[in-house]
Amino acid sequence: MEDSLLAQEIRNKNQAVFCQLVEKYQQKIVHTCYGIIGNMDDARDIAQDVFVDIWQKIDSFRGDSSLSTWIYRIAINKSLNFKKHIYHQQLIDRIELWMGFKEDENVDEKHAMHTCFEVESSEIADVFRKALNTLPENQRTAFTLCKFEELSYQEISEIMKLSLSSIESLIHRAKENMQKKLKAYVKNQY
Amino acid sequence: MKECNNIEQQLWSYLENQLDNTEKALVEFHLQECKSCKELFHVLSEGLQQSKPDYIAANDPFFLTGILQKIENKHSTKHIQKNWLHVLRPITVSAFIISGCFLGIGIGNTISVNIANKKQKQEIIKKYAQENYYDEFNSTDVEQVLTLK
Repeated sequence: MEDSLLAQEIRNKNQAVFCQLVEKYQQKIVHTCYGIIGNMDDARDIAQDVFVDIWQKIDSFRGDSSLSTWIYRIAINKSLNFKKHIYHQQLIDRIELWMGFKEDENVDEKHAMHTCFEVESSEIADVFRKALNTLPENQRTAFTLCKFEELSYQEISEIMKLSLSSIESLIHRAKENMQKKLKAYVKNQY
Repeated sequence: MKECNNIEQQLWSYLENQLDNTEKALVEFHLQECKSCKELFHVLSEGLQQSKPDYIAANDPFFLTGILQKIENKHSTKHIQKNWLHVLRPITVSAFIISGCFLGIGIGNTISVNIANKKQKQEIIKKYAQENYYDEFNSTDVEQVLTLK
């Protein structure tokens, strides 16, 4: 079924079609969220929220862009908001710890649960993920969509609402930064 | 070292298979010779490959059930919220208006009492001044009083 038809049916609250949409986009959305958040459980949770939003806010989809672009945009915004929420939560935890309102809680460990990518992954993957995590937000988002989701620059520019040249520049800088960070890791190894 | 820098600039393009045959051969030759560049390339390619989300991990069998549950929960909480809003809104608005009125009356009263007090005070001062008017010509001289003593 085409995306425009899917949107129309979801507008009519057709649950069977909505299930089709979930099946079609589940992996892509979970991957995108995972690329930004870095934790599979949280990524799955946020991806579920993305689909809840699609069901509830389908009327706000005007059809200016494709349905997939709209869905990716929701996923990215939700993931970035989640990251911000985690950052603020960590900040509040630290302040509370400093002021003595909280005891016996390792804030750094708690934070690491959200930023460190899958524990069972290899050392190289871990280093790569950590390097990716230190990239500026827009570079990381563009890199994730390009390398993990294998979207075209055109699609990424539509999702991120940036010009094609900006996307090219963002991805180029992301690659450069990643290489710099990984080079430092290789140097330390020897 | 200079060669390493040149090759490093082409590593991503090599990884993405965007180099022509000559450039590709040059990079491959260098990677065979240079250990650090080879290691960097290994970290880049393996890191990218291994960091890609696991398709099995992303495929949660209860994913859809979770979504439907969340939709149901949101719907019910929204319904409850709406009901609460219907009751709470008029109560809070009227409470604000009433408290505002009382506050206004209270402030008005204190101001008028203050003004009345001020006027009273002024009148008392005036009266006192009139009654205790110090007549400089008819009163006895202070020095005289002192010498009499």
